[in-house]
Amino acid sequence: MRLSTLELLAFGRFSGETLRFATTGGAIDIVYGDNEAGKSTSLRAVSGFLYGIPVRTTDDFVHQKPTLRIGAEVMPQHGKSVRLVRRKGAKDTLRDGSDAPISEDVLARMLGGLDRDLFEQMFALSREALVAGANDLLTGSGSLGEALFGASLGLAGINDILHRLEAEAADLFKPGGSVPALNASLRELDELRRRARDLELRPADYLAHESALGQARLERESLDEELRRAHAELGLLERNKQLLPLAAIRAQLFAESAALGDVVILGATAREERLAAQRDLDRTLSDADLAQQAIDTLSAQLELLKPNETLLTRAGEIRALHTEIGAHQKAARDLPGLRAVHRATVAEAEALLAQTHPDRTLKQAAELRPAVAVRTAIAALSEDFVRTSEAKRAAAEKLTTTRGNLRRAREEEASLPALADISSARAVLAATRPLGDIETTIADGEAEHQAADAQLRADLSTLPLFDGDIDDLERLRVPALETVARFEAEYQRIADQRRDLEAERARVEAQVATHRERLKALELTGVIPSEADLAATRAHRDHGWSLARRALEENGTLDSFDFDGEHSLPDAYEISVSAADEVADRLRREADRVAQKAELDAAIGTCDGELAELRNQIDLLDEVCDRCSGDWAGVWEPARLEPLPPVEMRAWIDAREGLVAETASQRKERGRLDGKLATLGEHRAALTRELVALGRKRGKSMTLSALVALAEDAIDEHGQAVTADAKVRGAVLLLKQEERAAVDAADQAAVAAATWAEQWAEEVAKLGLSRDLKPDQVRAVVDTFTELFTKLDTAATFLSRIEGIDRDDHAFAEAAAGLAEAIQPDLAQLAPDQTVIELHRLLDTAQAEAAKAAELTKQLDEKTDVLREASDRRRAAEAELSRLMKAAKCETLKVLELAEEQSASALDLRERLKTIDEQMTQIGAAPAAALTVEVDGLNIVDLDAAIQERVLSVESLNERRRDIDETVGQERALLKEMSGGDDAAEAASAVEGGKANVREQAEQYARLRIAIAILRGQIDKFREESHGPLLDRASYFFTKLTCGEYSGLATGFDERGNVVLLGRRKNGAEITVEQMSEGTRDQLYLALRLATIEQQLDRSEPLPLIVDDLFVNFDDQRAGAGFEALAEIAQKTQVIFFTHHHHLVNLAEKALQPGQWALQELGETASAIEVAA
Amino acid sequence: MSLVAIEGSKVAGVEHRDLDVVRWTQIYVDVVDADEDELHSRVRVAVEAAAEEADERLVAIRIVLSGETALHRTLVVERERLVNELRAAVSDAAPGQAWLERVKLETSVPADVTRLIARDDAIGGLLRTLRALPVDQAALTALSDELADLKRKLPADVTDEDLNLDDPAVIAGLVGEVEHLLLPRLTGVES
Repeated sequence: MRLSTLELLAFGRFSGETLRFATTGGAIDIVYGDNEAGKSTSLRAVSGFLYGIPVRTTDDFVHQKPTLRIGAEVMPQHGKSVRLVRRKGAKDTLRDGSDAPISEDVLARMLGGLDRDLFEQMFALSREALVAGANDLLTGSGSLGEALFGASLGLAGINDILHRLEAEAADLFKPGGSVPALNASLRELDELRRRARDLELRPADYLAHESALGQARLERESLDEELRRAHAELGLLERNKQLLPLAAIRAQLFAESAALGDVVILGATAREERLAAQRDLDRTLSDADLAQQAIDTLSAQLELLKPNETLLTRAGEIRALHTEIGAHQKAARDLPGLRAVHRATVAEAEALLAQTHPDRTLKQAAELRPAVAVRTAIAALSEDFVRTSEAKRAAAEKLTTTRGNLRRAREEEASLPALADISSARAVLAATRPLGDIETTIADGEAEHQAADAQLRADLSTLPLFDGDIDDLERLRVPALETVARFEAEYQRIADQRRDLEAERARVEAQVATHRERLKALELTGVIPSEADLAATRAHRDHGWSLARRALEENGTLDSFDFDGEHSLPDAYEISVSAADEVADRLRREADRVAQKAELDAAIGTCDGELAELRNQIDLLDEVCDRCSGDWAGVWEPARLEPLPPVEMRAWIDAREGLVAETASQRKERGRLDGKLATLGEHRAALTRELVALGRKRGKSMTLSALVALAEDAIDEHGQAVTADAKVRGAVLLLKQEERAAVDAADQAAVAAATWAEQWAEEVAKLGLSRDLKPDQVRAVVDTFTELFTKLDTAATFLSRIEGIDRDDHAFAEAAAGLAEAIQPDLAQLAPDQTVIELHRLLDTAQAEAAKAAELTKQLDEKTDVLREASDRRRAAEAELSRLMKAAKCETLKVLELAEEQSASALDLRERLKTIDEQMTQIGAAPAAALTVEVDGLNIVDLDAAIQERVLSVESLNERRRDIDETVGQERALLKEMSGGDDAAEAASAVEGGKANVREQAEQYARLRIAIAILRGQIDKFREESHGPLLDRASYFFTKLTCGEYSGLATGFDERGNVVLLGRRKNGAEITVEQMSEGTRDQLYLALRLATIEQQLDRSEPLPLIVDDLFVNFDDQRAGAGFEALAEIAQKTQVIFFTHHHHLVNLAEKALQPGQWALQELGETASAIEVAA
Repeated sequence: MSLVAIEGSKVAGVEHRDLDVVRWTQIYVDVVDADEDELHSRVRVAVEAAAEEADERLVAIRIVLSGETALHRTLVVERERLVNELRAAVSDAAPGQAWLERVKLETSVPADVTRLIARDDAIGGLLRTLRALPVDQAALTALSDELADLKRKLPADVTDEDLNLDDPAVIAGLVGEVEHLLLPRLTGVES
């Protein structure tokens, strides 16, 4: 996949800029920009485009987040290129050219499953990653597996990852440790288990304590009852002791009440009411006196105040005039100065008029005022005068120069040579170029053809059964492969049948042999009689009997018949009867053996039958086989070959077909070669013709390439001549255009000058001046006019102000005099301003007196109100006193006071008696009268003794109660602890919690250990699988990047036996990663990265390699070598190199050929950036 | 448990009585589209529901987090922090009543693992190894042997339940989780 463009439509500082990359392989795209030009933004744009713009992007400082857009044209390795746009958002962020959403899968397929992190890790190279990777090589002491694995992933810290996994595992668990988390958790779990066990129940103890608790509770209940009784008795005694003194006081109060006799009971507040009424009466009398005195004083003061009413009525006018006094006085002071300035200005104006028009007065000068209006026109025309004069001069000069140049160019044009027509030569050359190095191709083809022909003949000579040439072989009529297959199957079938029959015959023969063996063994134990033997002996017997019968019937002489030749007939017959019986008896006695023999005989008979049948079938099969062989030979008759078995003939046919096919292929090749030879001849002839036509020398036996080179030279030279010709003719055309333009310019300048002269005459006439005056002179006159009218305007202004002051002064004096006449006529003799000041002073005095009179009137009204109110209150107090005396049934205030005292004493006695009764009722919970009766007769000494006795008894009981409470508490606590309750449940729960904790940590530890084992295994596996070719390529890049300082890489072992990476110096010395300089280590890591990237490019869809300012720390020579190495990668995939160091661009230019790199500059002046419309 | 009341020879009533004092429950929390705050919030809601269900009994809770989520890598790499925070969240949601028994991760990265596995490079090789291991009995046994020190120290009642490290199925389960542990570190997320 390649990016042919990157469109920064709305991203970071960019708005619609496009980076265009080389669309074919082999060139590094270098993107250069100064600081702030947007290099880093472009870098982010690449991953933003491929994987989406991050949620919290910082590239939204110009465009709002939702409007961010990055576009690109993407070319997959296989397939058509496509333009895509990435927008910022949560979904559907990838769009096609028409802004319709498109599946992420389009990009994901090309990215081979790499997500953003992996892509940046594997296909982005930066200086920081390089340094980190080199440091990791050092951390891992150059361990080969880690180095290769890390470089393959683009991972800068594989050793660091392994160390961190180990550290995390060690933080969790160590076999002999106590600090790690899991070790601590295990210890804690033991502790929790111990506590849970302690809280388990112990039954016997539990029952004992339960019984003790029950006993203690019973005892406590009994004590409580006793205590209740003792408290009741003590309470009664103490109550009586409290009641006794109260009863005595009660009797005393009753006695005092009787002594007081009949009394009028007044209200509780009677005394306070009387005193209050008396106080009110006294106060009202005093208030009335005071108010009357104040009224008298205020009336006297008011009589003395008489303000001037006229003054007060015209207060507004007086104050208005008073405020004008300042302005009036200032105008009086300014007036002489103003008059002087006015006079001076008029004098200056007269002087200016005398300069231009000495014959006119100032009044007449007003006629000249309109002339000032043309001042602007005069100034503009003065400037135009300078411009038109300059334009006229420049046009004339330009015309002269252009005509000189045109003359020289025409002379050069006339001396140009004529151009030959090369279109035909160009066409011939264009037709010839695609042939390439056709002569070498033909020579190689011939050599290959001859070798193949020799091989074919050798193969033919080894083909069996055949003794002709290749043409004979092709013509040979061999049977079809299907026919061969049919015979092969037939032969196979016959062979299979024969094998089956032979196997069956062998089996049956083996059976017969077995049966015969068994029969032989049976017969060795004695001859076995058979049914046939029985029949024979019986037949012999019956024959004896028939002889005997015939002898008896015929003559009765038995001796005349010979029966067995040895014995007489009777003996012989007897023997035969015995023999027959013997056989019959044996048949019966030896029935088993007889049966076995019969069975074996029968079996042998059957087998013999089968054998005969099998032999018969084999004979038939032989006949079939013979027929088949005949047919097979017949099939090969047309080829006149004695065939081998079908299997072998099939191989023979294959070999023949191979030879025939090879022959056909060679013929085709020969045809192609011949075609090429003919083409070569034609093109040589055509080229030769063109060279002759162009007048070029050529050798007769020149190769096509040499002829092509000659023709190219001729075309190049012709091209140069055409360029020179076009340049001269172009120059003549340009100069002609310039001449026309110069003539036009001169004409325009002349017209402008004439127009100016007309306008000038018109404007100068308005001033009454001659048109022959120069612009400077006319401007001086106009300036004088301007100054004159400025002076006249100033003088008019001053005059207006002087007249205004005079008017104001007069009006002020009239107003002052009018007021003085109305208020105080003698003041009219003073100056107007003094009159006003005096009137103002008098007004202030009058207004103060008026205010004081108003205040006194207000106070007088208030005092009158006070006097009226005091009189009302006095009447009310007197009425209250009368009411009180009437209620007490007395005539005077003295008698009223006595009645009040008696009433108070009676009330006091009642109150005290009530209090005593209440106290007694509270103590005894009964009416006081009843309680008095109850305690009557008791005495305090007896009561004290009884109470003391009861108190001691209660204390003793309480002490026993406390002891028993303590026992109950202890037993209850013990039982609670033993029953466990919540504690036991909580302890069990804590154990479960501890177990969960241990399980969690153990699992994490196991995961970490497994991860470490798998990762280490995978690193070793990767090293074993890929270190050969990968190391070779890394070695190559390392030599290149170190400019030959190192001849390559090697492997060795460290002291722990690990395989490590070594650098081999050009003198052969091998040094470890630790011994390398920092820069060399950087180059080693880069070499590993380039080798792994190259390997990945061969195996997966190639992805663009994004390089960010990589060689900043390299010296110039090694940076140049770095660019060469990247150029090699660029042969396989797109390489985009971002930098803001211009010296790196210069180094790339030195190190690389044109065509190996292309420059893109970021920034406003960059020519390669197109600003999109 | 039920309480059965008998009057004469007849059953007068049956009443359900809860006799347990601790409940155990497993809650599943889907973390698709969740950030850390949202995760805590979802856990709190689920825990509150579980506590109410347990009706004032002590409740032990196992939390299973599942779903394809961008949070996956954080969950794996910072597992210890996560578990502690969730422990606090559970405690806050039902103070004194609920405790976190353990957290199981069944989350995964929304990555294109199928395409990654097909890659002929280091990352593809590692993934193929991880996928092949769970059915490779010999390899599982070898991995189990790696944990010999741990096995000696763990109490029997822990290993007997669901952490029997001699059981190849248990090791296979752990291997499955190792993919989530290793991938983020190897793809630069942690650095």
